[in-house]
Amino acid sequence: MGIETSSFIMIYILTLLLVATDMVPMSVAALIGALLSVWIGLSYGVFSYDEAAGFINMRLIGLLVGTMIVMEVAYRSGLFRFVALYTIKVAGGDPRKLFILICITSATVSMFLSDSTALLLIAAAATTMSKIMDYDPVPYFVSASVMVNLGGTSTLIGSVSNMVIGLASGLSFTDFISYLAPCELALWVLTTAVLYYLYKPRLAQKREVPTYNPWEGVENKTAFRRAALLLGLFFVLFMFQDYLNLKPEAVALGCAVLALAVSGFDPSGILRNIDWETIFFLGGFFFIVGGLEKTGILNEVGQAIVGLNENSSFFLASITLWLSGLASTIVSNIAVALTFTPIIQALNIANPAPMWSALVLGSNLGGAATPMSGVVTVMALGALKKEGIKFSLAEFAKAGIITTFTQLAFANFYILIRFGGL
Amino acid sequence: MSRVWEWITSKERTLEKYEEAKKEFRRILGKPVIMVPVELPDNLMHLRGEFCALENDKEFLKRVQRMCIRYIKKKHASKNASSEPNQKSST
Repeated sequence: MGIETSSFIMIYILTLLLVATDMVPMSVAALIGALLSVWIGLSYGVFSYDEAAGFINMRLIGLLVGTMIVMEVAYRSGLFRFVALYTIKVAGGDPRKLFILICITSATVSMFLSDSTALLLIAAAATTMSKIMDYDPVPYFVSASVMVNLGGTSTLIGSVSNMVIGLASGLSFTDFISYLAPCELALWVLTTAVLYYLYKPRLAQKREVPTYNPWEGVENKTAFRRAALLLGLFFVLFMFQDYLNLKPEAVALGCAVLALAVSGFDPSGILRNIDWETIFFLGGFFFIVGGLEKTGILNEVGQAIVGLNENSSFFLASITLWLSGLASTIVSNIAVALTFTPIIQALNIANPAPMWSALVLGSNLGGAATPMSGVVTVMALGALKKEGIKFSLAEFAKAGIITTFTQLAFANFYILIRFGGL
Repeated sequence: MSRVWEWITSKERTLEKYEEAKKEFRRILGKPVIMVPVELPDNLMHLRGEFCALENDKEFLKRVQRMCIRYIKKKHASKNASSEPNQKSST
């Protein structure tokens, strides 16, 4: 192994450590790594300046920014607040029913919004409702963070890691749904059941729910209707992107322009509110992985994995699922997706669909295992602290680890069934 | 474990969206609250300090609350009384 390869591996590990320990914001950690990668790469002639400029995947950035703008418009219209208020009303003060509905709503809302925004919205609803009705907020907080992490696993735009994998693999929106939706739906049921079993003793008695109309949460009904229509159009275009010969980023950016033009909201406010932290993290990490790829080390890792058992795609998919799942419990799932993507591409196997599906499941499911696993759990802990709610870290980890390992085991079983006869 | 907890929660998190959403949920789910600006008359400017202290005066707030209830009940009753003859004449 040459000095340049060792340097790139060191930069990669250093960046992941900085992100995992939260010593600096994740975007800054990735940008430091990018700076060092470009410096080493150009100094040792690993890549040229033009090659380095090509590391940034503008298609992915376009898809991410476009989706963020559309979802920010939908969020501002009060659409998701309406869903949360309606959920509480439907539960009718029954804490058990409410618990199950909060789990389902968290996963549903997370299919559209970024994980952090979805979690903060559901957490705000859970805190308010718990204070008014004198419920213990902890079961709702923990379950929301686990379910928000799970939601959106089966859609191309459900998480940033899915976008990374989707564009690299060439899997369309409908491919994602056809390969993964049955698994995600089963995981919703399974995870809700596990969480219910864990928290059943802490759910209070039925209390009277305050009288309110969920429409009170919608300030501008015109903006609400427009956002709902826009969201509908966004998903229809994604569903038919193959027939219409449209690329995912074209759908996202086209709908984003439409959203900015017709929503009636101040575009500068929407653009300010999109998640620049994730965009800069992604931008920086492109250089780190690009440098590693140029050294050929990722190709070697891929060949080593194939060498374990090249005749069984199920075995390779299982390895991918567990490696990416366990890695995501420690580091950002975006970093995991960006690292595994070139490895799978380098394998050059006849049917890579099982491996891509395994990577999608692994990188998504590991994100809520421990309090330090991902943005969702970190945000949930931040909100709990702000509310002054006393809470044991071990308890959070218990729920996270039990659900994550149950989900990974089921996902492994699903891959065997779905891609049977491999 | 408590040190880990301290370390994790020591970082400032951007929870603006959480606070905004919570405010909205409280507005809809919680008890309604009104904030009414009350100005000190010019001829009582020498009582500025006492006037500002009313904001935290429990006795004063209790009286305002009672006055609000009396006022709203009276207004509601007179509204009903005026609408009843109209209803009778229409039937």
